[in-house]
Amino acid sequence: MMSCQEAVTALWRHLEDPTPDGDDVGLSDHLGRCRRCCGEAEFAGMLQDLWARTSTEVVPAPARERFEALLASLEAAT
Amino acid sequence: MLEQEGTGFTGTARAHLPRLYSLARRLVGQHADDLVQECLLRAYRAWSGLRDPVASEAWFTAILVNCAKDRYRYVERHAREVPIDPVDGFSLYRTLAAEDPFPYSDSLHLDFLCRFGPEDVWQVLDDLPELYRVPLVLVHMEGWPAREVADALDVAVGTVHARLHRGRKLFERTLWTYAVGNDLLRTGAPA
Repeated sequence: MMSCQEAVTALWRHLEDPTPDGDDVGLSDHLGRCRRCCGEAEFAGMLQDLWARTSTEVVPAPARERFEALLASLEAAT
Repeated sequence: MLEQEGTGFTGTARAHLPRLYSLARRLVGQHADDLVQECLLRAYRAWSGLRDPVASEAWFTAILVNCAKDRYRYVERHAREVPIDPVDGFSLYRTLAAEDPFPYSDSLHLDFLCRFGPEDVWQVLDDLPELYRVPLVLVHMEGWPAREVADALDVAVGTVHARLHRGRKLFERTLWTYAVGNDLLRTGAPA
């Protein structure tokens, strides 16, 4: 059985670079037996949710004005 | 040509601006305006090479990431050395369990992360060296596979994995110090 450190490393590797034929058997086996690493896995999901929440589709007005001016100048040059 | 189909450069660029700005904000923080402007200029010059309008989102994104890559290469050459510190041993999960900042909470880890709004996370990201921030953003916030990040940044995939590991550890530790320094651990602080 892999160690907790190896399991956490494998967990993040899986999240960062999932491969369809990857060998996650050792990780699944470990998570099935280790309560603490299940908590680590749950926390990894929470961190990913936090990162997802940082996405914003709002461009601040000063930036938008700057981009619009640039696009207008490019349009005029065409 | 796209121009003849009524989807000219400015219209397409304008449609992608919110997403490009969002990505730029996370990649380079306060320099997002400059990065998006550089991206628009490069895209304009290369516009005639884009044949498939459906691919325009990925095309603009790739140009933005290239601009970020060029920027951090410049920063790496001119900026301060990034100190090697013992961040590898830090675990936010274990730190929270040990420090137990919310003793009456049944969901300690979630309660901690709920204290952070987007602005807080951006500030934490801004504190990371770009070397680590860029792969972290592309993989965890944009959903790129590590192999694609390796191709985009011209580095080995093992290098991307190493930077992701270190970047995540730096992010976790900075998140913790940010919470301590900004009074987010106080019971009753806005969640």
